[in-house]
Amino acid sequence: MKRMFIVIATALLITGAILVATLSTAHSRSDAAPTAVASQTTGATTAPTSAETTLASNFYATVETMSSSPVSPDVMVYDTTRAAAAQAVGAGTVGFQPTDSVTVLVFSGTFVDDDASYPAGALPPHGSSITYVIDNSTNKMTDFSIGPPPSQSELSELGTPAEVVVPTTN
Amino acid sequence: MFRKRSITRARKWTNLIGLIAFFTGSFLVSAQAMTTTAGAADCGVGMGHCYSIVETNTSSTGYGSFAQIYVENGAAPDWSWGGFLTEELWVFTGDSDGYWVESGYIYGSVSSNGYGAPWNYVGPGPNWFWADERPDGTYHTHVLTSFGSPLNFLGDPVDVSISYEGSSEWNVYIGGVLAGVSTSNPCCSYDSETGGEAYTFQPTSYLDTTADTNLAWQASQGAAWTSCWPPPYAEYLYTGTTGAWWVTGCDWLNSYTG
Repeated sequence: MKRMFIVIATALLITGAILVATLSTAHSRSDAAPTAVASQTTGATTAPTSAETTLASNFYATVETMSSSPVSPDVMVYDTTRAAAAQAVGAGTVGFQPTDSVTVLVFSGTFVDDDASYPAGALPPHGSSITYVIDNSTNKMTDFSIGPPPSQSELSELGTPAEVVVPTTN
Repeated sequence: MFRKRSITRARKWTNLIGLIAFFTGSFLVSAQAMTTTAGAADCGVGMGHCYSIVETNTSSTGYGSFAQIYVENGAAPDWSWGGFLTEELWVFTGDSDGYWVESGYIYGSVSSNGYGAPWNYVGPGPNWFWADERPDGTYHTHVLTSFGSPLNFLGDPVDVSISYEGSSEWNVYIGGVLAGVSTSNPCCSYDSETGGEAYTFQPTSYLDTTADTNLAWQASQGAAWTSCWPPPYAEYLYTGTTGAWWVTGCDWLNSYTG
C-alpha cells in the first residue's frame, strides 16, 4: 500500500514537473521579449522636443496595456509626411494629401491587442512592434499597426527620428 | 528508529512535492486552455469579444463582399478603457481564415486608443473605420476621421463593400466612396462575415437597431455583384448589447430580433 502511494506520488511529481517545464517553455516562446527592453536605435537620432516627449509618454501608457512584459522605454518619434508613413508603416492614404504632416511613433516589446476589432474565429492582433500615426493638423490618431518591427529600410523612409526615453517605474 | 523517521519524513515530502507539482501543472494547463479558448464562445459584458453575425464559408472562391449596414444609434461609455462596439463587414483573404479586411461603424476605442493620451483620443464615436490583417503578420487599423461625419449616415443604410482589385490589393468602399486600400493582401476569399462585434466592460453599452441587408458577392474580379452570399453559412447571436438586429438578402437567412 505504502509502496503504491510512493509510486503514485512519484508519477504525480514527474507529471507535474513535465507540465510545468512544458508550459514554461511554451510561455517563454510566446512571450519571449528579446527586443522588449533593447534599444531600437541603430542609426542617427535627434533630441526630442518637449511635445514629442509628452506625446511618446502618453502613448507609452496605452502601449503598456497591451503587454504583459516590459516595454522598451526607447520610443522613436518621426516628424514626416503621410506618403512616407504609408510606405513605411502602412498608414492610410485615402482622404489625405501625400504631403500632409504626420507624426509616427514606434514602440517595441511583446504585444497583444485584445482591444482591436477582429473577426469571429481569429486571434487577437499581436506582434513585437506597435506604430501610431497622428495627423498633425488635428492632433488625432488616424492609424495604428501591430506586428513584426518595420525594417530599417522602411523606417529610413520616415527620416531621422527623435529618440524619447520614457521614464518608467520598472 | 532514526532511519525509519527519516524515511517517513522523506515520503511525506515526496508526496507533498508531488501534489504541489501536480496541482501547479493542472492549474497552468487550465489557465493556458482558458487563454486559448477565450472568444465568441464565452462572451458577455467584460468577457471578451462577442459577435452577432452571419458568416458564409463556402468552397466558392470570392473576389468581394457587399452589405448594406444600418445603425440607428449606439454608445460605448467605456471607450476610454478600451471598450467598443462595431457594425461591419469582414472579408477573409488569401483563401485563408488568418488574414482579412474589415470595415464599418465603430463606437468607442480603436485599438486601445483612449488610455493616457487625452488630446489624441479618437473619442467615443461613432466613426467609420477599416482594418486589415496581412500575411506578413501586421494588423492595421485606420480611423476615417476625415471621411465625413458618420452621424450623417446614422439611420440610413450605407453600402459597404470590400473587393479584390488585383496585385494583392483590396479596396474598401463606404457609401460608394473609396475609403481605403489594403495592400500585400492576396486573393481570394471563401469566407465573409457581417454583423456586430462587442468588446465592452460596461452594461450600458448598446447598439440600438442595426441591420445588415442586401448581402452580395463577386464571383470574379470586377464582376457585377451577385445577390446573396453563397451557403453554407453559420450564425452567431449575442444580444447582450444589441437592441435589435436583423440580416436579410438571402433565402437561407433568418431575421433576428435581439
